[in-house]
Amino acid sequence: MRKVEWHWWTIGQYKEEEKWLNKKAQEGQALVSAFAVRYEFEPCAPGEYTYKIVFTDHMPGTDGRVAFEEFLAESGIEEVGRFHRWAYYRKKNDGTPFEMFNTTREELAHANKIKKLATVLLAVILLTLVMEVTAFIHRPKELFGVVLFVALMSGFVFKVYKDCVKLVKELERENRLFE
Amino acid sequence: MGDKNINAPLTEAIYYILLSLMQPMHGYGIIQNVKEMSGGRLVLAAGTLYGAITNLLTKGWIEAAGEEENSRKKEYVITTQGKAALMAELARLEELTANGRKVMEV
Repeated sequence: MRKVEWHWWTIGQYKEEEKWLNKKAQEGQALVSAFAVRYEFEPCAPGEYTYKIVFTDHMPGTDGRVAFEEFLAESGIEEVGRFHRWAYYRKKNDGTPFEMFNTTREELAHANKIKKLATVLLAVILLTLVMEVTAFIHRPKELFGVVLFVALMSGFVFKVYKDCVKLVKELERENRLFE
Repeated sequence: MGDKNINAPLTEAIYYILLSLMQPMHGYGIIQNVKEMSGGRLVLAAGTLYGAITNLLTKGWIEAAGEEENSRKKEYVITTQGKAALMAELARLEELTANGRKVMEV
């Protein structure tokens, strides 16, 4: 029987999210669908699958994304969930480890793409906040709710950005060991 | 215009991919071939291989070699430019090992 779980991870926490999905698979719960904070699992043999989360270069349905997924399918890797450019992939365990990248340098390049997205989000929300606060000075009664909402969103996006910076720093440290 | 990186060291993955593509091969075939050549030490990750193939196609070091019948699997093969890069890397590796052996007297 399928089971639905709700869980919130920021984009900078995708490594932790991956660990969580693989722990669930080890316990006999295989992810079959994922969208934003909604995860759907179905029973599987413990450890039957390994999961990887990738921030792809292309949006779902585009030629680049289709080509990438056809390529992965050749190696027995299937997509089980997608959200914007995020993709959840799984592979049946065949005795060889399932990795998306061979080197920390490539992992770092992947993490930097995620950080870039977080930076753009942060810049947009901070700019919005500045504009709303400026307007709030002249119309405090009408804009109180809006300013509060944008301030809360800014806090949320800042947390996302911080997680991305932490991830990139960790990978940079690891990368220095192997160069 | 000449390729200014033709004599730059190749990554292990690129070296083995180019070696594999001395004969036409599709993605999964490359993974299997590299694993066999390296005695199981190097298992190319799918994302790494996809990125490498995309870059090598852009550089013109490999090209599409048609598709297998009744299959959407794409095959690739090394080009003359790719062979030149591979030969340059082989010479570089031979120089490294030869000098290493001479100095270490092994």
